[in-house]
Amino acid sequence: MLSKELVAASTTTLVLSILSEGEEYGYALIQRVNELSGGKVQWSEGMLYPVLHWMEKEELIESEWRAAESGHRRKYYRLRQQGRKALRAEKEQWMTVHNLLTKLWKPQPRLT
Amino acid sequence: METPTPFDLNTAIRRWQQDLGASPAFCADNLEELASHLRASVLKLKAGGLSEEEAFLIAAQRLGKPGQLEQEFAKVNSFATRSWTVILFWLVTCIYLFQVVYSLIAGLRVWRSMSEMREMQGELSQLLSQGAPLGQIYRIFDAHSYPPVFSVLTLSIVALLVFILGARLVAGSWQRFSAIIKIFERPTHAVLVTLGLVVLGHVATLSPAYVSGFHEDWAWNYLTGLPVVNDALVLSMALLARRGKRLIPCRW
Repeated sequence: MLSKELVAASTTTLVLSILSEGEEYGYALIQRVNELSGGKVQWSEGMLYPVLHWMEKEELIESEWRAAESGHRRKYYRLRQQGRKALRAEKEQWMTVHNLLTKLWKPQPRLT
Repeated sequence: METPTPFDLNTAIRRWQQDLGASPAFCADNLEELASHLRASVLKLKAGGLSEEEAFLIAAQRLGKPGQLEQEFAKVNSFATRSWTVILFWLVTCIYLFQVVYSLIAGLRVWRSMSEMREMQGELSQLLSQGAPLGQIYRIFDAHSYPPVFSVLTLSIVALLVFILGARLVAGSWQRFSAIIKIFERPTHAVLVTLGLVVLGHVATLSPAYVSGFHEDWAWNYLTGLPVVNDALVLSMALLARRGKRLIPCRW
């Protein structure tokens, strides 16, 4: 299970990454993360929405209410231009950490 | 023996929304989105073999404690977290209203001084017979016609507040008022409203010249560029309104 701090730090990046594949609604975003991480990343469900609304205000994403098959409405989120830019920057930063840790943790070949 | 009332998901969700909605931290929009989440969650849990009631209880629990939710939603819904686009929209609207109010007051003042002029017809015809050009006389009145800027600035801020509060009263709730402002989100409506505001801007700016009948002033007014500034203001209002979401905060 991921620590609370890491969950908080990675939420926006995860949302941006999932939405870069296409629009999605809140519940489906949570399901996606749950499935992809094999249950290791668990968001406290209700807390995702304030994050989404904050991202919307920052103009990273936009939302639209649409009728779902059930007849009830669903709020779909999609990426905006600024969100794409933010995702590129985030990717670079996470890759830096990833590469650094991989180098440190890989057993170094020794000559002697 | 008492028969237990059968569980109804819609009633349960409505009651849950009402409990949460008692807090001012949530917008109606938020409550609908959370309800939609609950429905999806219940559906999934039911597919796993739970009864509807059990599924609802677990779904609500997974969504989070009301206190925690309230805290997090309050953070994003406060007025302090409005985006710059929204703040800029209201600023431009205020400047535009100022321009319109200022011009209309000037028009009214010119109209009053023109009627004064007509009353003084005897005196005027004397002046005219002495060879004073009519334009010169008009300009004497015109100089007193334009209202002082600061009083008008205050007036337009008051006008904006009166407009917002009045429209909210007419609409019945912030939510519905918000929906009215949202006309900018629909392209055809946005074009119509923008055109209407452009016409209003032109009518207001040109009103002093129109009232006085000194049509050469129309050209003068255009040379000052005021109508063009108005058009630019309306255009930026429309663009900002289309960019920014939720121009009216559901919570102040």
